[in-house]
Amino acid sequence: MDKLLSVNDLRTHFYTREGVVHAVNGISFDLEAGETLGIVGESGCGKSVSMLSLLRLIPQPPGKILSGSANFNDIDLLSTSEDELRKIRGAKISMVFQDPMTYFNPVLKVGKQVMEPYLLHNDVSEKEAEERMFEMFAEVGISNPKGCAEDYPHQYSGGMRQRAMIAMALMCSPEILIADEPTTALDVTIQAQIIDMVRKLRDDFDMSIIWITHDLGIIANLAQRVIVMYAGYIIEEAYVKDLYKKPLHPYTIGLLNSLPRLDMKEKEKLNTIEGIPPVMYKETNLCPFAPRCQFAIDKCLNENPPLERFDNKRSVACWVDVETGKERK
Amino acid sequence: MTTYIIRRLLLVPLLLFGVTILIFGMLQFLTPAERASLYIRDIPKNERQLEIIIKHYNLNDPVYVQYWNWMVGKADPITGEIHGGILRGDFGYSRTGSEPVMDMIKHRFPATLELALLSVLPIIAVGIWLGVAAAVNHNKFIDQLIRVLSIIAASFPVFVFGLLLIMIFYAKLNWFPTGRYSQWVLEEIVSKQFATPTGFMTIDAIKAGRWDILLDTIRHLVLPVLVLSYISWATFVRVTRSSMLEALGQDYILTAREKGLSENQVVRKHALPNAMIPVTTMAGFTVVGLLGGVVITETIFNYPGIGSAAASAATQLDVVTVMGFALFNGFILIAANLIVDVLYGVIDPRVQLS
Amino acid sequence: MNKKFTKIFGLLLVFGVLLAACGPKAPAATEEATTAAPAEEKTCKEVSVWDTGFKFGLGYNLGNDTRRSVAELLASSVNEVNEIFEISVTGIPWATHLRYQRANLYPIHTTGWQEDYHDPHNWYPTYLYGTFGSYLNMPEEKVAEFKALVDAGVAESDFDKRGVIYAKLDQMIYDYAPYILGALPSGRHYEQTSVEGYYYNPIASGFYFYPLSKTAAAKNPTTMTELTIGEPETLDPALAYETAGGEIIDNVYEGLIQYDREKPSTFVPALAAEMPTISDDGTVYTFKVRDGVTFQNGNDLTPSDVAYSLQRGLLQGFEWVSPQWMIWEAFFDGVTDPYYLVDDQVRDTPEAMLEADPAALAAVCEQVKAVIVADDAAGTVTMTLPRPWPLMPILAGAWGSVMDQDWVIENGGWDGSCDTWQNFYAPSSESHVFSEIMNGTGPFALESWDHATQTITLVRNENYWRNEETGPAWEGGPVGPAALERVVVSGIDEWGTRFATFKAGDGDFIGVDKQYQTQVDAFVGEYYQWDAAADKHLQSTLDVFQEYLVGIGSPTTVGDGTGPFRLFNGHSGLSRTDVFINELIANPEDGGNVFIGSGNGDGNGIPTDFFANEHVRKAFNYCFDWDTYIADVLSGEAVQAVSTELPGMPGFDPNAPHYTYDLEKCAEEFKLATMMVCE
Repeated sequence: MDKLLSVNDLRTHFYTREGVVHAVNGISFDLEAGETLGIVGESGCGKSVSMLSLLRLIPQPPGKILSGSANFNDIDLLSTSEDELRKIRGAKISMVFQDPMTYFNPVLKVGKQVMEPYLLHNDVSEKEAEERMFEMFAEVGISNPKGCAEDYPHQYSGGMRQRAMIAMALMCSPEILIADEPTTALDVTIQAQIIDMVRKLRDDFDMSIIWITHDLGIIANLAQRVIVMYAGYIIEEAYVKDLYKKPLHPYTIGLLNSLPRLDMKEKEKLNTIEGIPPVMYKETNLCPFAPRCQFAIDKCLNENPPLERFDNKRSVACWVDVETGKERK
Repeated sequence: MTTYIIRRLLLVPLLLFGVTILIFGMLQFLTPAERASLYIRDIPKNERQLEIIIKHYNLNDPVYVQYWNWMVGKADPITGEIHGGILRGDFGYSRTGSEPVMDMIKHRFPATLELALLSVLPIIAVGIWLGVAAAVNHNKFIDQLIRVLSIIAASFPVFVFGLLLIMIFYAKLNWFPTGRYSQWVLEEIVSKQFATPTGFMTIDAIKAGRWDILLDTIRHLVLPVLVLSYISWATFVRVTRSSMLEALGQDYILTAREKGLSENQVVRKHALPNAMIPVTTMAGFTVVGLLGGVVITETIFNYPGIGSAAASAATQLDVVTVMGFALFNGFILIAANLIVDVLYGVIDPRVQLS
Repeated sequence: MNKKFTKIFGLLLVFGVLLAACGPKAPAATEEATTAAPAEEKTCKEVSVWDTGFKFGLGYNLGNDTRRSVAELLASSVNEVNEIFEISVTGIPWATHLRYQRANLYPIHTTGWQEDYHDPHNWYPTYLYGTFGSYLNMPEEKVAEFKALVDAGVAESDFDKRGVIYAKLDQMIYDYAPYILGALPSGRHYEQTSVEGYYYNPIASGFYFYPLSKTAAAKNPTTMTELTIGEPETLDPALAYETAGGEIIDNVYEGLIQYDREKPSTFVPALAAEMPTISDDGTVYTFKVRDGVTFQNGNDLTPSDVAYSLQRGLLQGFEWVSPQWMIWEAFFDGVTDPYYLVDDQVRDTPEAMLEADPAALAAVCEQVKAVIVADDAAGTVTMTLPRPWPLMPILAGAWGSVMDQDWVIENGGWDGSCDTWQNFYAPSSESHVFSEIMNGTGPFALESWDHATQTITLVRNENYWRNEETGPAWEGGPVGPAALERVVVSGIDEWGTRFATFKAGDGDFIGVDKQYQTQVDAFVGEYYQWDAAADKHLQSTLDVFQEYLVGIGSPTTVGDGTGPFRLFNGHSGLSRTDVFINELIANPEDGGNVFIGSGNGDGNGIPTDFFANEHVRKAFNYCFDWDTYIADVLSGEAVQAVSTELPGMPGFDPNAPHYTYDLEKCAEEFKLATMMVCE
């Protein structure tokens, strides 16, 4: 399979009054055609910012994409012209956001908003766009597409709204769908429905998906490969099965441990990772996770471990071999 | 929606009734002699005139009798018929206007309405344009410039600005005269050569195909409209700018950009409709304020609207006229408020009028 | 939402009712002034004013700065002479002020008079025993002395002989010092240089447009525009009693006689064919009415119209609100309104008049008709006075205008019958038809009156009766239709706007308040100065104007002569502010008189007869600083008044004996003065 998207050393900073926030600190990853890549991490780890950076949707100021390249179909998204980028946005690469209530325009009808990207990127009549929209509504499981198209966002339920948003993202049959925690705000049953729907669509449309979440359960359900981010760095990368079977980074281990399991005893305490993730005001010369890490050694506090690549698309940024507890060779 | 409107309208007479009581009550603080002096134009040659006025207007009668007379009217001594009273639509006789107050309102309100409505367009158009320009270019030079101009406009006193314009554009250049129309137009109106069925000079001129009169009217309107506009621009620009900034900071703007819309399209199709909601209510209130008769502007430009009428009535202590205008103004305000509320319900689909 | 509105409305209701209930009602009546009449015997003794000192209050009507300044000047001069002389100056709202005046509560107060017609008889009676005279409370014998001279003056028709009488009167007044004469302010007239034909007549209500015209270079050569303030109250000549209305009436209506151009006391025939014949005893005036005159509606002028107009005016009455009291006084001794003749009730309102006995009412009407008689066949109108009176100056006023009887009746006015006149008595402006419509014989007709823009438009009367045959009103005067096609009188209250209109050339005459004169002066290109000897304006130079401005302290620098405006400067007006001294101050039992302090000659007030002492009055006259008054309050544009009457009137002498500001003499008089202090 060929590489659809190739991101290299993406660096995004925010210049605020309190200081410079190093939101994304030189991440690199690839995405294959037809692949579903999950990005996992806590709030503030830079996962949304990196995706928005790809499409240059970061407000600049106060943000600034300092370096990097994002190669998509022989175009470097980060340096190409605005006009070229606009042709890609919404057409070749689409996004779905977390809270469809605020991400839809409250004063415009849903139908109008859903049709918008299709009308924009294709030379079609409104009638044709409408037909396409009804098709998509059917795909995402919205019954009464005509009536719903005439409604306003506030008249939808949460689940319907997310379906509509997904429909909107798929109108132009994008090659990559970036989903930024689209189910976080929904209740679990709806969440399951949406995930099923997405899986089906992925097969029908043959698209690549980047799915951002902090929910490891979804990753297991949906993604083939997964990236773990922390403090603006990619700290681990693996195929999902490998990651779950044998996590290499202490943070990943902590995450997996903190998942409640069906076979837990009733009054057993949940595991947590002590401490909170840092806000990066400067480049670190230590491992950003070190302060909270149970495996930390002296080196961790003095040098920031680079991302080391292994076979089988495995990488990790850590000095320590978690099995032995000593520095990795 | 209709029930909402009807319910609101039903409250109008109650509110107006309260206003009449308030105004009338305040008048009672003056002695009959002082109240009588309000009915006389000039200091009389002899104080006997005061007594005559007091007798004529029954100013020595008990309060409730006077209030009753004012509301419902008095009997004509010769014929015995009951005339007058607010409820009959007789607001009394205006000493300063030399005609019944109701007629005065009828004659002078269309002028104010015309001026107000014609000012609304430039106010809204330019105000929104500048406000959007400022918001879209947040913190850049254009934004700073517009904000500074806004502050200057808000601080520059109306009468100074107005007189300055008059001195330059009328006294010196003779381009834009004061008043509502030139003497020759007045003569045509009086001699019935030019009919004014609607009371709006612009509409009537167009209807009659009189382009010369239309030009004359526009020449007279340029300066007052400019003066009225610049006062409102200050607030309009600020409100548009801030509501636009707020809209641009919303999440759906990100969605719009993400869909591939150009910045221009994002602003026009997504930000603007949202930003316009508070701006519309502002526009409504601006119109309401203008309808109240913009006193200073009308006085400076010698424009025969209800603003200048009310002002000269007030300065000459013509209480009857002032009371009549207060009632009329009250009614306008209530009606306009109602329209604004309904408009709000129409524009913002999230609002349910209960 | 309902609850909220109910709450608000309820609050408004309660608030309003409270206001209405708690507001003050009719004041405790101090209408009937009773003098303090202590029943018990008091021991009083005479003391020196100079040694004891005094305190009292001086009132003026609030808002009138001229009167306030006069009061303050007096107070400070008196205090300068002797520091135990304390006078406090208070501004009183004029409704209360009028009450105090009438109740004789003021020890001294300032007030002003503007004459109605140009004759000493409009001044002396008023000042000595009329409206103002009643504030003086002079002893009866003194009043009788004055009255005898005044009666003699009005009975005499020869100008010089009258002069002798009034000169005597002035001497008496100087000796008695019943009041302090103020200063006569001079006025200015500004116009565009394109105006031609202007002259100044002090008694005219406004401008007389018939002899005026404009050069062809003017912006609107056939329309004359006057920019003024406000608008007339009424255009009914029988009712109008202010100059705005008077001006319009003088141009549209005419009377039997009119002023001889700029002369205020010389008359020429207008609707009279010639000057009237007067009987030897001066009581019967016979006017021959001109032939061939038409009203603006086409009807012919007849003697009946003349008689009807005057009768209508008299029977419409409305004492003090209208000018009819002057005509009543002329024809009926001591009567100023029809109601005095009806019965012994005060019927000064329409409602009251209608309740009178119809026979009594008809009788009044007959009396009026008896003294003004028209003879259409002979073409004359005969007027009979009870005793000689200055009838001519009165008839020359706007209230002497002739209206077309048929037209008045057509428009709902009095039909001339003695059964219906009471229905038209004392009309209020509200329903008065003739306030808004006009139909006269004059050189201009009323085209329109737009209240919204305060604009009155007059249009030339193409059928005006004056022609080559009848001759002009004065030598060199105009004949035929007016030169001007239109006259526009426009009220623009806001000064800036009015001035801009004038500068733009859309106004030919402009009313300028004193404080704005400096703005206009810079644009004056032609300057005319009043010459007292020539008794008219003579053209002068801008250098003279500059000198004049420097003299009165104006900062303006005059232009180079290319300015578009012309100024006529320095003519006297007809109004004056004077100071009235009360010889018997009222001191009512309840509440007392706040102005007289202790009411006793004990140094903490003044006794009620304080000013009965001649030396006190003279002292106050010597203590008035005319120079400062003229310089500061009247901007230097005034002349000290030396006589009760005005310059040009019979007996006026600019060098007549008069008081001057002299603190020494003031002190002298005070030292001679005494007052009573009682235990």
